[in-house]
Amino acid sequence: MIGEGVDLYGGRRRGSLRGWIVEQQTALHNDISTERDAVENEQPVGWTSAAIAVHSILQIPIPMFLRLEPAGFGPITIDFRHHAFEWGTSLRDFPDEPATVLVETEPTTATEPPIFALPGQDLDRLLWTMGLHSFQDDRAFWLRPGDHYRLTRWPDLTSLDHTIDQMRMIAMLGNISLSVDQLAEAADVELAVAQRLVNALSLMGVIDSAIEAQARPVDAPAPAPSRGLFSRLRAKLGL
Amino acid sequence: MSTALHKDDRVIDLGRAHLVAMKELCSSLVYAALLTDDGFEVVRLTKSEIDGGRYASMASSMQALSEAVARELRIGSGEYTIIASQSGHVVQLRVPGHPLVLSALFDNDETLGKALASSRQTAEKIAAVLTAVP
Amino acid sequence: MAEHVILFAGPMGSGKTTAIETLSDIEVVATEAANTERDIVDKPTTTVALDYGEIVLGDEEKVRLYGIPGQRRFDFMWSILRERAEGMILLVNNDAPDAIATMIEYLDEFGELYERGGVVIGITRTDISRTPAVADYSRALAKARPGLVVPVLGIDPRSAEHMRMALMALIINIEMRETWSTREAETV
Repeated sequence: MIGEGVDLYGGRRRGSLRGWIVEQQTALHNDISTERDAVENEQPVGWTSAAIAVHSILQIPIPMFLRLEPAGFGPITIDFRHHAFEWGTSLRDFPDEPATVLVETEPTTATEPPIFALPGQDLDRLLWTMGLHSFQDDRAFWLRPGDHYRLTRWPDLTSLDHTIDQMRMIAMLGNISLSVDQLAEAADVELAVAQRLVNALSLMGVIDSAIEAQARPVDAPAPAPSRGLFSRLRAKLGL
Repeated sequence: MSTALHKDDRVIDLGRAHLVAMKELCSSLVYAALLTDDGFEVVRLTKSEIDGGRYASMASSMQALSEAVARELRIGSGEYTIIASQSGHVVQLRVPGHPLVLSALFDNDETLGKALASSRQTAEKIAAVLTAVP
Repeated sequence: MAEHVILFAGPMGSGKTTAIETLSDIEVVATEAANTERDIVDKPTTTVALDYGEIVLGDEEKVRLYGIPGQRRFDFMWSILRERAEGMILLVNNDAPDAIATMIEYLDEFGELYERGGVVIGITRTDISRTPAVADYSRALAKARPGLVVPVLGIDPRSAEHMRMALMALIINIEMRETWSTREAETV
């Protein structure tokens, strides 16, 4: 249900909340460097549009529901107040590239009852999966070229489908600020793999970014040696 | 739920009585403690510089490790544990049939044989009295 | 023989013995005694010295797993085993009273391991108590000890998958911290 709402300053907002969010998205686009001009002119589709909506909502302190409907699947309902979602489909059956994802927002209040039985599912699981499947292999729109990233908390990997390479990259970001290029080189993975991870971690809100001058960048090391305990344990455990 | 042994006044009193009796029979006894399996002190003969609570925990760890070694070596259940040092020896054994351990420190005036005998005797007496307690 | 020592620490009833049993290649050496504190944690036995298990990596290499008693009266065992440890998996049961404060207390006790990045925090029994959320532990940690990020995971100590993941996260975090500490020192 889309209707008029209250803006950040307590006044009545003209136009729809969705329109306000699109305004914010446009403002973000205008900050992106010229090399992204071609991308800026395209309308985001699929999970990318959903990720942009989620990211925008997470930046504003207004309680919100969000409904996402990937083509061919039932709706995903998100209650940001409880960091939870509900979906009749298992995340194991997450569609990689649905033709469309309908996005619908609904403001709420802090005290309004939940719209699905709590606790629901942990929103981090959805944000992780969505983040990995948005923006194709490109940088998420809200990230800047040349940014260096540092982890602020580990995602709960026991609840997320992940690869060993993703775990290694998360451990790297937990200990040093790296650009996506440096991360890919240090982890010996393709740039797209590192970029998708950074997109997902950013959507989850577990990394900070800083421009190069503010970070304390170091030369990326050579790929992790294959002789360490981690490698031997990995071989032993069949991972 | 029944009272834990280290909080049961009857157990504390009879334990104290038997430790005192042990001291009377064995003047070389320097310190003795009765403790629960999981390291709570029931009663001790006072030696002021020893932290009785801490010693009870350490004694229970030592008892458990000794029994683990005996199991690992398949040499039957542990009978007693001895720590021999320059200034004395500690003898430690279970109170048969009860989740309690007797740990006693003797000075070097005592032969090891007599230390073992008096410790075993005291543990058996405590066991018999406890079994009779309703 | 190359050996690596990993400690399992945490309050009584958090699942340390179970976690080692899940990971160990050998039958775990346990030192259980009858528990007289069933009003605090209702289980029949408790660890009074240590649990010991192993992961055998080869003829010349083992990962030794030591579980330490959770109760503070056994902290002399903490001191003994802490000296030898490369890393630690700290298990905290989510249904404990003031579980987050308990986590901070243990990290204070094992501060040196923590500073080396050698700690993974596993929150157990999240099926029994859904709050605090796992993320709440991370946030509390960031507040109490800013500047260092360690893995905080929801864990079932009976799950081989969870325990392997926790162990891998611990080892990789130690290795990465060592790598970057060296490099930062070279850069400065």
